[in-house]
Amino acid sequence: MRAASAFDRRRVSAPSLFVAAFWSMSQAIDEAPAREAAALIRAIAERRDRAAFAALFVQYAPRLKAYMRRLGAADDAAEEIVQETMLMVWRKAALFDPARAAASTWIFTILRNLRIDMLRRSRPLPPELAAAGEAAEAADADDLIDAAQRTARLRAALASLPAEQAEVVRLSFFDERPHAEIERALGIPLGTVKSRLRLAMARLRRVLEGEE
Amino acid sequence: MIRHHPSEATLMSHAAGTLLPLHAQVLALHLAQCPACRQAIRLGEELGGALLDAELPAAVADDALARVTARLDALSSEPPRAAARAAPPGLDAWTRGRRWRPIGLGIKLMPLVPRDATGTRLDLIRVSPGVALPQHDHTGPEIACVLSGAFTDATGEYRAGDIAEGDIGLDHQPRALTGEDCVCLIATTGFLRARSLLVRLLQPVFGV
Repeated sequence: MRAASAFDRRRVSAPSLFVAAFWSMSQAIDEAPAREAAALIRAIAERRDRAAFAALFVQYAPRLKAYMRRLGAADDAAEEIVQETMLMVWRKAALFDPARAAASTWIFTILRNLRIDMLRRSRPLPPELAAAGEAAEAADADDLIDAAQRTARLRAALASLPAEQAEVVRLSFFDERPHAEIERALGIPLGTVKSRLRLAMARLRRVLEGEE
Repeated sequence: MIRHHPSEATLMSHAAGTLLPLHAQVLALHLAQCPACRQAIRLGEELGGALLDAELPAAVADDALARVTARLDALSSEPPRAAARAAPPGLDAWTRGRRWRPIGLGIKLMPLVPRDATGTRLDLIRVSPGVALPQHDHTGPEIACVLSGAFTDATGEYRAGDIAEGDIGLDHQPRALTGEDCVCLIATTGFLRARSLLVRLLQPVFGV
């Protein structure tokens, strides 16, 4: 946690720089990588295909590590959680449903849940309460466009968000402080993060619904 | 019929896995009953996937693939089954083996998890019909989910399944509506500051 807060301070001191580095890449709507990753996970599920696993590792391990580093993890801790995540991908491959989630979304939730489990082990809840804290897994799959398309659209939409909205999306993911504390640190009025995020999410929803 | 939902900010932090754990605990009660918010969580997870895809790859250790591949052999071939979403525990499950502590006239508290490293605690609070909490404000964020009964404050009326979020600076006086006791699961970060000097003097006694 201490490492994370040091990381936060550094980031907060130059937020615009990070936003620029992170979001300026203009991303074409390209569904191909998502479909390839989904095929690799299928191959693992059906044939325990190690070549497919290696290809998936090459594609995702460096991104998983980058994601963890952005969250403030030290290098060895990031390596460790990448190992655990990829191992879980292997074990759970049969549960992957490409109609329900893009490969990257599925892998992201595995990483997220492992991280939460690790935090929980250091701060355990009473056992009867632990069951209620499971992150919700939505199963509504009645979407008009499929998961790979949605992710590709989302990436493009994220890249086109105004910088201040993109920044609050990023803060939700990479800053564990309560929003009010973030606002205090950034010197912006209380409630600004919430209202900017509301705008960002409304826009992303419109894009997904094909209205933009 | 749920009328009060968590903010987008809270939902996104939950999807991202960055919400304070005890706040997530309270939110889970609402999500179990609210398809719209589950859908929002799903969008947040897709955003997580998109952010992961957008990362510039970081160099991993040279032997990282070899190490994880070696561990594949040790795994059982049995794939883990999808965990069924646990139903949120009923009031009985929360209260079993614990007792209500009166902290004021018509107000009882059942501490579930003491203040953790993030300064957050989890409690059940039970307020008799018509009773108001002392006017107070907050030094940190708070999230509550109504389990039974109902309460009202300047921001609206809250019933079973509703989420009430209090941010730093929220100054309010919740009052239980008539009918049954109002029971809420509540995660509080930081401290409540009572307006009345008398209550402030008594606060150390109550421990809230």
